[in-house]
Amino acid sequence: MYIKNETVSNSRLTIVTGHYGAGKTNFAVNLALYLKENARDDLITIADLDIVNPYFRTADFKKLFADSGIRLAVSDFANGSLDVPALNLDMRAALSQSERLIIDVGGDPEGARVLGRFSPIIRQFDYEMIYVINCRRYLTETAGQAVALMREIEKSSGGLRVTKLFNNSHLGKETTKEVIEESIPFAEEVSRLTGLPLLEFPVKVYVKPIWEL
Amino acid sequence: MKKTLMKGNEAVAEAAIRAGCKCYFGYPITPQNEVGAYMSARIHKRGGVFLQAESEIGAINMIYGCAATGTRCMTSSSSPGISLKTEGISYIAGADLPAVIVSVQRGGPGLGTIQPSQADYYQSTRAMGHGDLRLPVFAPYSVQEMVDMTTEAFELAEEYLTPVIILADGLLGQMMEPVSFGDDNSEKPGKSFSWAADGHMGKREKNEITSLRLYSEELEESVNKRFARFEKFKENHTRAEAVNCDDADIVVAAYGSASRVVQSAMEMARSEGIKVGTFRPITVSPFPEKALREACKVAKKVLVVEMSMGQMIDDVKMALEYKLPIEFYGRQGGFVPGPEEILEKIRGMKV
Repeated sequence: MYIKNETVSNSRLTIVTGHYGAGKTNFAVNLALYLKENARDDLITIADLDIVNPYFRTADFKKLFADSGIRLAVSDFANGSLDVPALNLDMRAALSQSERLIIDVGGDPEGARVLGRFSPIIRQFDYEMIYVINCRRYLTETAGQAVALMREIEKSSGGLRVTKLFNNSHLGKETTKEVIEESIPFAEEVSRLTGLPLLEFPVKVYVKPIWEL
Repeated sequence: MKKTLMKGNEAVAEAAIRAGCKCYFGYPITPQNEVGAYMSARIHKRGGVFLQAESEIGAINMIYGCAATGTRCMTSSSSPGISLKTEGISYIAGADLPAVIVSVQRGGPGLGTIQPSQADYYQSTRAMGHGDLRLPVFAPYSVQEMVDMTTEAFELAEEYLTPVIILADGLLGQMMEPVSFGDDNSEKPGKSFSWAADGHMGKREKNEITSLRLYSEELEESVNKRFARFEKFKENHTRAEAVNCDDADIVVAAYGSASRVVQSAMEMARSEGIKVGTFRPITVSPFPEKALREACKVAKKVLVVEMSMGQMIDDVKMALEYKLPIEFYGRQGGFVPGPEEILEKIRGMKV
């Protein structure tokens, strides 16, 4: 039996991971805004640890975060012209300066590798690691594929374990009620195979091309 | 077929494999690395070969050799990498060989930026290498078009014996959109060609593949033949899309990513009562001159929008023979203009 309808936990540290293009950044942006509005914690930091994706990343939302009073921690190289996988984020400082820290990690095992470096610090906390799944993305179209990729991500993240699943199945602008409904058996199957609960959390679309009004 | 969500770069690779592309040779550069990454993970399972060359120059010359055997092959790169490939592309064109080349533009000159740009329009339409040379260039504006054009490019390259260019940009490469694919022909054997250097076992005359033609008569004849084929391509495959131009006071011309923004700007302008139409070249070489003249029949002014200092605008001016006032709006440095900026420009045009 799968477990469902879990809400956002009170963990100080939430890690957002998943397949490249599953919708991690959009989820992370929503989570930061939600916590700012609904949790009593004032100091919320969102950290962009993506070293694989050049575009469509958390650092794109600098203004939104500034306007909402959310601290954004990014590598000096994010969104620059340097496509070097460098990361000079001070995780200890980010944690000591905020009550809630959301880490948006790059996609796939390659993107999750950066977590390895921080895993000794992360493991000192009662962390939440959310695995974002989208059955309309190639490579995670079946529950079996999604679980296999999740295991790979856990392996490359220095022994961190996923604690919750988030079904973010969508087809961009062509998302319909049917597309979402069709994805429910998939998400339940991933939950059943992993024994992990599905997170219930409504999201708005923030990550989209500039021409979508 | 059920639609899936893919990045433009991934979709190009999948489309190529399905089209029967047997060899991909490339060298990494942002923002098109997903093409090579996808190929390296998948093409060998579907009867093909992925090889990361020692450089872009190495990769394009592998394409030259591979194409000479009549095998479907593709390479991709971004601006500085395409610059390195142009010598090889000229050789491939000079040897009348088919190949598909995907150019995912980033900001330049030089190393520039990894952010999107349309500053390689001249390069693609005028200067894909030295010599008297015109190549077909498709300019997709969606991930679906990247798929469809890649599929078509392999066919046309073989029909017209020419490299065919897919001119995308970083945004199209990186963004995700729902796509569907046609038939999977990856397992089908490729066509055989009478001209291919694919081994004759003494049973026929040898085929010679070269771009070297030392006798002027021979070189002139080969250039003329190639241009005649390009003319035929122009007649049969020049493509454009005009929207709301029938009553438009202002026609806004843009291709690729910029045309997506222009569409949104047009909708905003129309809702304010400004009669705006849009014109989108789908082939930028050959440029759809006739279609543009048709689209501008009642227009009082034309606006060209590009993510560059203005390159396609020259083709617009020539096609319209400078008969209409033509204005320009562009962003550079990796910026994609927003619909509001373009609307502001349209409002100021006063027709």
